[in-house]
Amino acid sequence: MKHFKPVNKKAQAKYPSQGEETFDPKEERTDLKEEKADVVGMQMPLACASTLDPGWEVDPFGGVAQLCQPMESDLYGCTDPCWWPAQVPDNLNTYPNWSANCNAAVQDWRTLETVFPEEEPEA
Amino acid sequence: METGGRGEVGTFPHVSQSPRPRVPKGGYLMINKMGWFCFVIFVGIFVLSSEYAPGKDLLIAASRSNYVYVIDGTTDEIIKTIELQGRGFPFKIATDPAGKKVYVITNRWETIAIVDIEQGKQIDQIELSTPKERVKAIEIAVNRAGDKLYVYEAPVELAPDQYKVLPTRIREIDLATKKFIRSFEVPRQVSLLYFSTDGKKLYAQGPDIYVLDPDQGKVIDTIPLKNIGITGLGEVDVLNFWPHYEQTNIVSNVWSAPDTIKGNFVVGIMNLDLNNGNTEWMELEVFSNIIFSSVISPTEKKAYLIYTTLSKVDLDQKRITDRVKLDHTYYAGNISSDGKKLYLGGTQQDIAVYDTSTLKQLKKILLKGDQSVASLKMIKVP
Repeated sequence: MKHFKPVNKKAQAKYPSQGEETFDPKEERTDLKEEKADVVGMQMPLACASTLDPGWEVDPFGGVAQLCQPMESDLYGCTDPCWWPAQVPDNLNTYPNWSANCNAAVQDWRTLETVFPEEEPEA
Repeated sequence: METGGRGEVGTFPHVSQSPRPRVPKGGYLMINKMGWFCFVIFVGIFVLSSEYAPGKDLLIAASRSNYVYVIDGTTDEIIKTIELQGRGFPFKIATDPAGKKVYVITNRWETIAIVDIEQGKQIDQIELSTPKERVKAIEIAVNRAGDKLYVYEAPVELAPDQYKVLPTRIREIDLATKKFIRSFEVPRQVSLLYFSTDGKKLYAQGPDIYVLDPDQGKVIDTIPLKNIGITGLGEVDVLNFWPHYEQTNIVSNVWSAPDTIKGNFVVGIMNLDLNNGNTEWMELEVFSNIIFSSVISPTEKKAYLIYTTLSKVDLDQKRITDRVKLDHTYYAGNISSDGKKLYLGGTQQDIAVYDTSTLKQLKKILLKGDQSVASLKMIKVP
């Protein structure tokens, strides 16, 4: 077991190279314990559609009349602060060009890009 | 030695030399006085009619993809359209007390653009992220002295194999040098930062309002919102992204909560006076219309509530006295110094100007793109 050597970034960052310190897999992994507790609240779980949050579908009264009018008005107001992380692409981080050609959502919503998950590179 | 060198007066033979006209005693002095008088009047008229005349309102707006606008509060026309550097889109805007610069969160909320509104261009920027840490700015505020910027940040550590969410914090930045002075942890979900008028307290508004001592970087008090604990009211919900209190120094928050006695929901406003820290809660109606934001009149005891309807509130009677439907949703608004005009913005690509007395639309100002949740700030030229 003393002949393991780090082969990727994670291992290199977490474990010193061979000879400097031995690696015993039976040792308790304290860092994994910390990871299990690493759950934090969203930054802004505010509630304009408080019956379903994140929500685009219904207003607090179970209808749509109290949602933003027209619906496209609310597109960026909700996606920019990552309010709708499940329904639309993440403008701030992973898909910054998703709405690059759509500066006025009510007029230009047809120009919104379609996005797909990036394929993982083969090992 | 020959004459006519640079800076010397030569004699030109082809120019006839006429005798010097006689001027009455004191005549030149009279002309000079009149000249100065006319000059001062001319300059005065020019300054007072200029776009940056003292006392004039300037509305600062922002839109996609990456623009900031300076709008004349008299004519309600755009006088500067300023394209920010890099990727958009603009979010919160903070103004300096001198009324010369504005600070805008942009570049996927990782950069603070510094904009000179008279020059009409971005003059500098502050980068918040580093290769090891991605930082999103959620809110910014300039202190009352105008020498420090406070940024509420949501940082993430970019480790080789994982993203680690770090505690939210406020970063203090020296505006003269752009150096980071320090940062201190504050609770999550803060959406607004604002200072008391004496500059001694920094309020960080989230589910509750955390009162900080900016010198110590410590929470010294908490003003309850969500946890107000009023008998008969359930958990209070407040949505406030919009730092639009500059005309009155009163931060007005729209709240909704279940009425646990009657079994319905009610809506009201909570006003925090930045002059003395006092809060005033008022219940306005049974929850039938969503309202996002509220702004207080600087000249009357009125508040204006904004979303897909525009409502006027009599703060003495604590009730809604008038309501009109809007042609589309506006998230937020600001008000002129004389209290006569209301500017509705956010969401789409226009700012609607409304008469506060009649709640009739006066004008629309068209921008280059949607405002989304960008601020709509008012500057009174000093």
